[in-house]
Formats: sequence, structure tokens, C-alpha cells
Amino acid sequence: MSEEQGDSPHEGMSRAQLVAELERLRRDNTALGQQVKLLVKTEQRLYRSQNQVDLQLGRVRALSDYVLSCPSLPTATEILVGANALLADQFHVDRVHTLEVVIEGDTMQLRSATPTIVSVCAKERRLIDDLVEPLFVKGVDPQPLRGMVDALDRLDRDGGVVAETEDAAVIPVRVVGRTAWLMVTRRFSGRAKNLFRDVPSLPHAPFLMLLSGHVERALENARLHRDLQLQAAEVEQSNRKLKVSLEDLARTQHQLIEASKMEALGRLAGGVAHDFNNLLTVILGTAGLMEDDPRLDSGLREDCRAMIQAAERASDLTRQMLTFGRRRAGTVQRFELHPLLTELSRLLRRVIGEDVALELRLEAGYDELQADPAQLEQVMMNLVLNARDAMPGGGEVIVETAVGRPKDDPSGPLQMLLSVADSGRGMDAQTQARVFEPFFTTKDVGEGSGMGLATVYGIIQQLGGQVSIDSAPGQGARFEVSLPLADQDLVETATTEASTRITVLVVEDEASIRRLVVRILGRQGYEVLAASDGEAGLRRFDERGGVDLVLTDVVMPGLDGVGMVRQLRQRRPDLPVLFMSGYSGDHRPSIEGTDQSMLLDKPFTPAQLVERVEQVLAVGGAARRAL
Amino acid sequence: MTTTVGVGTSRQLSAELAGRGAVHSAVQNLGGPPDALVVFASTGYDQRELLAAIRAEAPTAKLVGCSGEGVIARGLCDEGPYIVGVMALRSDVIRAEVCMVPGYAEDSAKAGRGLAQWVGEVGGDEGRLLIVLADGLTGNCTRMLEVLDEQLPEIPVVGGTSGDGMMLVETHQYCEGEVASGHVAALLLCGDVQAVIAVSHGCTPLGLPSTIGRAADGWVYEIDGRTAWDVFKEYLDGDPEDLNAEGVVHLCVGEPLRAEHAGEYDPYVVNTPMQLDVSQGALFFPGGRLQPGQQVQLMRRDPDKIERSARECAEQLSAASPEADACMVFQFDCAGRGQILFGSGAAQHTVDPVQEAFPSTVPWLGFHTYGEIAPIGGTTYFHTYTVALCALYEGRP
Repeated sequence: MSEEQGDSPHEGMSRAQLVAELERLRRDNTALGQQVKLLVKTEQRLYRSQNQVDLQLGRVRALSDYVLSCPSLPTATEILVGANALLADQFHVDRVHTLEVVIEGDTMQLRSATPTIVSVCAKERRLIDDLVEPLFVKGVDPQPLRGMVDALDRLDRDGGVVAETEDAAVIPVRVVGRTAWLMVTRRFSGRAKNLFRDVPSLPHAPFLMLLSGHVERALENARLHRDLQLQAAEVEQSNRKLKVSLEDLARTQHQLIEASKMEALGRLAGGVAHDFNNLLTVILGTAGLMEDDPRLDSGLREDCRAMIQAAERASDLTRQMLTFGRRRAGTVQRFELHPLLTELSRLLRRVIGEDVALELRLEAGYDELQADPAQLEQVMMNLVLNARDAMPGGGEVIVETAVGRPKDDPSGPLQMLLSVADSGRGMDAQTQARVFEPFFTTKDVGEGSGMGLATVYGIIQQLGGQVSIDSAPGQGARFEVSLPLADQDLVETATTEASTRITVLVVEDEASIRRLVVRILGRQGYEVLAASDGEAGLRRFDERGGVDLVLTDVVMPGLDGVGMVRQLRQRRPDLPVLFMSGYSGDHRPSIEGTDQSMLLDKPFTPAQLVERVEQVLAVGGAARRAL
Repeated sequence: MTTTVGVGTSRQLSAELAGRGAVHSAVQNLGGPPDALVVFASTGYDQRELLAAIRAEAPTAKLVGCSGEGVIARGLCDEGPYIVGVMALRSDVIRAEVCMVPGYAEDSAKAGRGLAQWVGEVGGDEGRLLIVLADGLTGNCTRMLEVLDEQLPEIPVVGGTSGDGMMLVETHQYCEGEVASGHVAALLLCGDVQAVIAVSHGCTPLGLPSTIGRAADGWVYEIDGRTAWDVFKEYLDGDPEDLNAEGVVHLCVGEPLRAEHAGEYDPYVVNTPMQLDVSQGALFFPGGRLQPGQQVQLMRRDPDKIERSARECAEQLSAASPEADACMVFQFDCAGRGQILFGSGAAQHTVDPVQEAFPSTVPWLGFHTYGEIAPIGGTTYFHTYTVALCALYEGRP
């Protein structure tokens, strides 16, 4: 106890001193208490400031993140959705909208993707047009844009959400000097507030303008990026076209050089042939006179005969040279290629011998050419014989036709592609480069004149076509001839739309009528196959397949229309048929099982033809049953 | 494992989209239809629209919950106006029962009796944990807890009181399809489950002890011979005319821990005023324990202590059952310890430290409360400025 008393700082103090000490301690205590209170208040201010800074920092950070993300947002929608998310995250709002400002005539509409469409009155339109900074709507009319906010409320109510906006912020996004978008935030009345999220209001205008500015720039950047991409694509496309053009140019240049060379050779050959012909005329004439001279003994007569024969062979050569030089006119006419090839193949088979097989692969469809059939026969003969000569041990020759575009002119018009391919020894590039030159031959002396392929070249050039080779040593050769079609437009349409078009087989022996009918139906969008008699009609039907209607003459040489249809019915009992007949009334041949609806009297107008074809196709079922 | 739990959250602005989205996500994580849903949501939403959307998504599940000042989930602590968190539970060993008792604001003791009676009826001797979600602005929580302790001595009680975004205007309680204020909602877990609960606060004493003067039913009229409001105001910055959240969170009253619990907790149980009667200068403490003549200690928050004690608290829970992972954890954390104290980094200080003590796969849901409910010793206390953590493990206690 005494020790404790000894420790006391107040030991020995008088009562008055103790009272004074107590008073001092009280004063100190009060001062200390004040200091504590001051400290606690200061701490509160610090926390408050810290929260404010934290809030601002959070918004700046969010804006910064958004701005950084904008380059990866390629569309206006994504850019605006990002801005919406930022507003929803950083402020106390119940709804955020992005409305596109659409002006149509005198009306302005605000549209969103949902779709939300709000029409605005003229007064609001002016306000939106001129809006350059956020506008805050609080309270009811006549607050600016309150009508627009009410319209959004109504849309929410229609969607089942009880909503009445208490506070709204309308933030314009301007593009090229006009308000292009509005970002609208709304906070509903009656909803609890929150200490940590502000409702967007005037103090936030600088931040909202900053956001709006970034959105505007992001939209502009996205637009520029898109334009740049489009331009890049255009440049790329132009480059592609340029490349194709350059390739075309190179090819054309090569063809031109080749053509010039061949032209020069042709002129030379033609000139020589012309002079030779004159000389041969004299030789043949003189030799003929000599041969007829009775004074000539038999030995000399035989010599004279040999001279005449040699001159005649020389005359053949000059004819070929003239053909190459395109100085020999042919008889140009319209004809079907496939019947010609079929017919010619019989002769060719005999000529090429039994060791060589000849196969025809003729594509069903349009095959009319405007050319000299005799010249074309010579082309085929020369090509096939050339093929045979390339296969001394025998082999296979394939003659093939198709309507298409040549490999070296893929963008040009459709042509008849006629190819002759062999399985022979083939050619190297050097040989291929000279193969069409006159008198060029790889055969032994005396075995070939070197004029066969030159003649082919000359004829094809004369017909406006092209001939090319595809060959390699040991891999055979394929000569492809491309020739203009007789009716280009018809075939272009037919080829383009063939997959979806109705196919009509026209069988008519009179060529002028056949061509007319083909032309009329072709222009109506039908795919038209043509044949000149019943037999040919059957072949075309079998080759092509998928015929929807047969339009045939009744009386034709050979197999007539009725006979052909009877056979076709065995193949397809429900095949729609329309007969064309030049006879009428009692003179009309009897067609078993045919009613009036299946007959078309000649003459007919194009409209009548089309109408009847459509009728038969429409009631095809009934007509088929009737037969 | 026969108990599965999934948690889902949503921050959609639309109540319908948010409600459906959160349940959908929770049910997906659960992997099947739920038996029960626990829902915590902020008050920016139209509460009825939100609950209707949740019920529409899982119409057969029992539902209980309340509004919070913010929602806590794995790595998430959001005190904004638009956040909803849903925990979905399905089990063949744990039975969940839910109820809501009205009249808590008017007579909390009676509400407690009603709650205890319901627990007896539906739980029998199977009740293992009662989670109580009472109105955060009204009622005398201590009265209710005293009744529950008296009538349900075997069942631990934990929970929190509902919040409203620090606006101190109106909070909500949810049960099935009903949204109410001034009520108490409850979830009773029965069967093979045991709860481990821990609580901690982060406040330090301020100045000398004070003496409560006139006080009744949670209202304190005088402290140290002056009106309670005058005493508080001296510590509040800006000479406030009304009690507001920013002021309230800075000052609280520490009530000395009962002698029988000494050593089991901090020397003080913390209590915060939530209402002010300006005409009488009286403050309302929802805890309702303060009595005339009682010695109390004014206290202030200490951020370091908050984080440290919460981490210790979580580690203590996690260590309680080292052989098994918890099947779910509830976190009831005071609104005054969140964003208002730590700013946007609140999660790093109040959520991350406690979640780190558990495996990341443990489902987690909680909310920022206006008051926390957790036992110390054998007595259930109403706290403020604390975190109450409750980990649930399968198996009989």
C-alpha cells in the first residue's frame, strides 16, 4: 500500500493542489476528447473523399476499358451495346436504350433493335437535331423530350413492365454533324435508390459527353475500317481481273503471233498454189492434147499419162494449199453436227482399219453449226487419219462433242467443242508448236505431205473457230476444235437455265420449220432438242433423256411422227405429245388415240404454238391418259 | 455425395431477366431440379417482379430469402442496385423447410415464439440449423433471439437482417412467392447436416466508457446524461440533421460481453443505431439489448482488424472439419464493412480472405446485412459490424 502511495504523483499534495490537478486533468480529458472527435470526423471526410475518388476512378477505368475495346467492335451495334453496358454498370438506371435517329421525309423516328420505334413530334425533332450535349429529363411535361420518354414508358407497359420514368438522360451521338443515335437512360419512380450508384444528372454531363465522343469516334473508325476493307477487296478484285486480263493478253499475243505466222505461210502457200495451178493448167492441158495426139506412140502415150497423173496429184496438193491459205471458198450452210459425225464415222471406220477403234461420244443437245459440211468432213477425216498414223500398232480414237467454252477462252461465248483424241505416241512441245505448219511432218519421206493438219487449221480459221492440241510424249494427243454455234443466244439461254427448264423434242423433216419452231420455243425459255425425222427423234430422246414434251410432224420420210410416238410411248407411257400437221379436216391422216387437243394445224403463229405447248404441258396428265 | 448445391448470380437491369438468369445458372450448376432456393437481391429491382420470375423458373422449389445491401458469392461482392444471387439445393439427406412470420416489427418476441413453434412442427428432432432473415430496419432482434434460444436450445441460429442499398427506407423478406417488410423469414435445415458458425468484428474502442440513461425496447434516449443523438452527433462530420448511412457506419456502441462468455469472443458485442427520433434525440438499436445504467463503449471501425479477424474466423471454420469439404457456406457480412469502407476493392478485403480458407469448389452465397445473427457460447447474439460465417457439412453432429 505504501509502495503504491509512493508511486502516486499526487503524494504530498494539499487538498487545494489536488483540486487544481483534478481540474487540469478534466481540461486535458476534454481536449483529448475533442481531438478524438476531430480525428473521427476527419476519418469520415477521408472515407467520403475516398469513395468519391473511387467512384470517379471506376468510371474513368470503365471508359478506358471501353475505348480500348472499341477497335475490336466491328459494328455500330456492338459499339453502342458496349456503351450501354458501361452506362448500366456505372450509374443507377433501370433501362438503357440505344435509339437510331431515322429521318424519312418529314418524320423522325427513333428505332432500336428490339424493335422499339418511337415517333417524335416536330418540336422534339428540332431539339434532337440540335442536341450536342446530354439532356436530363426530370418531372412531367413540358420538360423537353418528356414525350419521347413517355413513349418509351408506354412501350415498357405494353411489354408488361410497370414503368414510369422519374429521371432520364438523353445522350446524343453525332455522326457527320447530325444526331445519328440517342443513348437514353431511364430510372423508374418508386424504385429504391442506392448509395453507391448515381442517377445520371447534370454533374455527370462531362463524363457522358466524353463517352458520347468516344462512341462517335469509334463509329467513325468502324466506318473507315469497313470502307478500307471494301476498298481492299475492290483492289484485290481489280488485281485478280488485271491478272486475268494480262493472261488473256499474253494468250492473245501468242495466238496473234501464231496467227500471223500461219497467215504469212498461208499467203505464201496460197500464192504458190495459185501460180502452180496456172502452171499445172498448162501442163495438164498440154499433156492432155499430147495424149490425144494420134501420132503419139504407145510408149510416149504412157509417159504422157504418167505426167498427167503426177500433175493431177500436184493439183490435189495445190487445192490443199489453197484451203490452208483460205483462198478456197466453201458452201456455208446450217446443219446438225451429230448426224454428220454419225454418218461420217461409218466411212472413217473403214479407212482407219480394224486395229483402231473409233468411239463417238456426242453430247445430247444443241448441235447446229453454220459452216461448210464438206469442209468439216475433211477436218474430221484429216484429224482421224492423223490419229491413226500416230498409232501404228493400233489403239483407240475418241471423237467427242460438247457445248462449252474452250480452255483458252473461259470467259468467251459458248461454242461447239469437237475433239479427236488418240492413245498414240503423243508429241513434245516443239512438235506441237509446228504441227499446223504446211509441209511439216514427222512421218518418213513420201509417207505424208505435211498438209493434213495445216488444212485443218486453215478450214477452222476460215470458219471462225480455233484448234488446239493437248499432248505429251507417250500420252497420246487430243485435238480440240471450237466452232461458233449457229444460234448462240438460244444455246446460252439453254445452257444457263437447263437445269430448271422444260425440255421439248422437236421432230420435223422440213429444216426451215424445224429451225423456226426451235427458235420460238427457245425464246420462251424451253430447252429444245431437234431432230429431222422419226429415227433421229428416237435417238435424241434416248441420248438426252428427261424430255418433257414431244412436238412432232405427222408425215415424215422414213419413220413418221405417229410411228415414232408409238415407240416413245413404250419407253414412257405418260409422255406428253403435240402433233403438227399440214393436213386438215378429212385430209388429216388418222392418228390413233389422239384427240383435237393434241393436234396443231399448220400454218401456226408463234403465239399459237406457245399456247398449245403450254396447254399440253398443263393438261399433260389428261392427254397421257387419252393415248 | 448426396447433397448438391449450385449458385447463380445475375446483374441484368430487368428484374425478370435477372431472376430467371440467376436461377437458370444456379440450377445448371446444381445439375438438376432444386428442392429449395435461397435468394438474396438488391432493392433496385421491383421485388415482386423479381420473385415471380424466380418462381416461374423453379416453381416447385421452396424459396426463402431477403433483400440485401449487396450480394456476396464466389469472388463477387456487389453492392449496386442490380444484383441477385440464388443458391439452389438438392439433397436426399438434408431437408429444407421455409417460412415467414409476420409481426416481427411490432412484437419481435411474439414473432420468435411463432418461429419456434413452426420449427417444432416441421423439424421435430431433426432440426439442425435455423437461418433467420429478419427485417433490418425494424423489430427487436435480441428479443426474438432470446425466445429462440429459450425454446430451441438445441438448434443453432445464424443469419442476418435485410438491407436496402444503404438508403435505410424499406427492406424486404421473401418466402415462397411472398415479398414482405417488417417480417422474419427463415430456413430450417433438417437431417444429416451439421453447421459450424463463427463470427468476428473489426471495431476498436473510442474514448472512455459511457453510461446508458433512459432506454426501452431498443430505443436509447440518453447517454451520459445527454440525448443519445447529441452524443453521436459530436462524432459525425458535417453536423448532420438526420441519421444517414455514411454517418452511421463510423460509430457504434460496444456492449461488454456477458461474463459467462468471456474469452470466447472479443470483449465487446457491437451494436449500431439504425433509426433516429429527432424530436426526442433517441436512437434505435435493432439489437435491443441496451438497458438503463448499462456501461457501454463507443467504438469505431478498424479496416485492418476487419480483414484480419474475418480471415481468422474463416480459417477456424474450415479447420472444424478437416476431413471433408463443406457442402455450402453462407456469409452474412455487415453493410458497414463493404464498399462504404473499402470502396470498389471491398471484395479483396472482406470476401477473398474468407473464401481463400475454403476450396474454390465450395458453393458460397451471402449478403451485406444491416445486422448479423450468430451465437457466442450458447447464446445467440444480434451483432453489427461483424461477419457471421456458417459452413454446412453433411453428416450427423
